[in-house]
Amino acid sequence: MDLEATLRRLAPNLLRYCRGQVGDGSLAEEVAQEALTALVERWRRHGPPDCPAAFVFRIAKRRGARRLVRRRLSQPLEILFGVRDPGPDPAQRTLSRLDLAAVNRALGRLAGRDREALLLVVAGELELKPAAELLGISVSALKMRLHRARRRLAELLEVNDEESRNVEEPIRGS
Amino acid sequence: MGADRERLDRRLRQALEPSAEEVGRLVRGALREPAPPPVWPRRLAVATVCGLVLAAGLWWALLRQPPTPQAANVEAGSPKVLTITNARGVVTVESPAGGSLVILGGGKS
Repeated sequence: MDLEATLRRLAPNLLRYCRGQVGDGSLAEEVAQEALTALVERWRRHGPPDCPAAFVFRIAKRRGARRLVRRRLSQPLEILFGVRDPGPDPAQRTLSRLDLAAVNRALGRLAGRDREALLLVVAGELELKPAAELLGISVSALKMRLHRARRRLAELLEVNDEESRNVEEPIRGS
Repeated sequence: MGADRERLDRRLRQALEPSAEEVGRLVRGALREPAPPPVWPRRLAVATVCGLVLAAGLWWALLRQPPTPQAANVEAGSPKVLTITNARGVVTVESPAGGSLVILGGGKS
């Protein structure tokens, strides 16, 4: 197994997962970077883990959650001291034109456990068995969560698309 | 149903899809060797410890050595002059006129 080839294979899946998890491009990249660096260190010291994908996703899941908590705690202070503008930044405004904003909004409204399952299996393309082990549930329970998450996400995106159409049509008509 | 699911999954992946540049940056960043820790603070710490040990040794050897009289001559009857000879030379102590020397205890003269 080649380290660089493994990294190239895992990086896009991991970054997709992190983006869905933390909902912020730069933060997602930081979390993904930490997870891949941990894999490289582990690989160089003790050889490759049994399942490199499960290894990096486990680290990304834990660190992403930690980063989110830290961001939620520090955000009010940052706004208070004027460090962070509470409004959307230019990059965010650009991204909001894309589908990412809609998908992120819909993902944010899913139940945490369902979102995690969906991101691991669909965005991260992790196989069912390691994903179930990572979440500490059985494969059938994971399938159930996936079904529920897909159904809910489809509903939320449909509502969002309708709202977008309703906003666009008067603009076009004027 | 299956087609809907596929479409939804594809939409999710496409929305979260990173650019090739981001992926490349991520891989390069992960493969980069960690920078070795700077050497000079360690050298400085070693030199400081060595210097401290040396200074403590010198202090102990030179300053803390108690004067060990090897010979003391005291005039019998009226002790006015005391001569102490030790490793660092000879020390002679004379009492003031009319007085007498009283040795209270050990220590440096």
